[in-house]
Amino acid sequence: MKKERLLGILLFLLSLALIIGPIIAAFSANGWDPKVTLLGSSNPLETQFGNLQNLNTSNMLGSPTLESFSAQGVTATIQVTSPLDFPIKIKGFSGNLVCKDHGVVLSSVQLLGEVEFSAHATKNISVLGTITQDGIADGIAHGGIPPNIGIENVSIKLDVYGIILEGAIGSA
Amino acid sequence: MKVNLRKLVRKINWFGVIAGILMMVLPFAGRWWRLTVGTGAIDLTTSPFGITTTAFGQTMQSTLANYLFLGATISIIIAGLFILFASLFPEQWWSLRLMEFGATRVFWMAISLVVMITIGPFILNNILPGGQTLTIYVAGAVIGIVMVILFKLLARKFLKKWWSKRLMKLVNNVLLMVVGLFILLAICVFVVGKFLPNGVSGIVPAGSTVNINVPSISGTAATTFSMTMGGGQATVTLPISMGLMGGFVLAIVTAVFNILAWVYHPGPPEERKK
Repeated sequence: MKKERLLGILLFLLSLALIIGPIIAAFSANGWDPKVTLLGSSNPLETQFGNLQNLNTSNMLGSPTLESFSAQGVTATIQVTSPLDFPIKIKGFSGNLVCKDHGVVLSSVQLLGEVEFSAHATKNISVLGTITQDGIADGIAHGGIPPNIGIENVSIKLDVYGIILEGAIGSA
Repeated sequence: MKVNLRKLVRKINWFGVIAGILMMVLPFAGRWWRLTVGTGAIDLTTSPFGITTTAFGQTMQSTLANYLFLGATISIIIAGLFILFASLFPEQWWSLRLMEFGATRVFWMAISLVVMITIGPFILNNILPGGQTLTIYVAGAVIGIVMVILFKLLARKFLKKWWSKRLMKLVNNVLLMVVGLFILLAICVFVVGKFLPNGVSGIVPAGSTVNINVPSISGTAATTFSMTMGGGQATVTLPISMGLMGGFVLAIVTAVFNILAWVYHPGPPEERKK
């Protein structure tokens, strides 16, 4: 009976040692730093989600260039730079092309198809739209394609590793 | 000599032999459960013996988790060896102790995993948004406690065989765990009601919304929330999928053999007379 009890105690201590031992070993291996012991020295979730705050028009978009501007339609190319450290896919992009000289909306444009970006890549994307009445008048005023245009009210749909981010992006 | 060998073979607890071998194989038989957010935003596969997590293409490491999983691996291999020895020599004085050391380990590991991946999403989907009342959880806990007491009394009165007592002990422990879960849920409801009267919506900035939808055990769902993105407002959709993996099937088979081995295990003659 005594030896049974002793064996019981030894087995209990073994169970305990196999739980407490690894905890002590883990903490001592990391100089008793609880954060590093629990989460490791780098936390990709923290750094990568922080990275998403870099998504804004001033970081991402260059000035649009009008390729065609007529009653049949408006085509423009916009230089887009990904400010992120990982690949993304632009699944949707829309905005208003404006004449900076006269402050009128020339066309509401959108991206057709999808464009993939590797980390920090720069690409020209083509956007299409129909010309507005103000746009026609602005074209006449400029005697052709307005030279000084910008883009406003940008909405974007991004695919970041299957996570879909959709909405208006700010300029700050 | 021939007669002795036959006698010896007949006494072997064969369920235990199979269970012991399976336990030693189990830590190397693959992960039990996977969780994926997006298409590689977060990929997690885990079992009680290891975890692999990648987030945005980078591997995440936790020293504590690695050491704990190592401890669990060593523990299950030792338990497997003990069960094997106890099953080969069932009449030795130490055999029942060794059998009891590891007999329900895999069972509890499997149950714990299922409970975690059921209760976790339940809390996220139903309790965190708020509006739950305590009644059902308190009632569940009380009914569970009454059942445990009742089962104990009935078992003491009617169960005489050693195997039936062991089986009842297991049933009672499972019931106790269920009681514990009801208490845990009641605490969660209480804490959310006390500190987050409007649920999780109360802690997000004005104008933002959170719609938590997490699958449980196995399936796909999408959680959406709004966040500021470069000064603008954006909606984020997180497709979440999870599922049980091949290793879990082996865990269930191992747990079944473990329970059979333990319930059947005769132990030394004096143990059987108890």
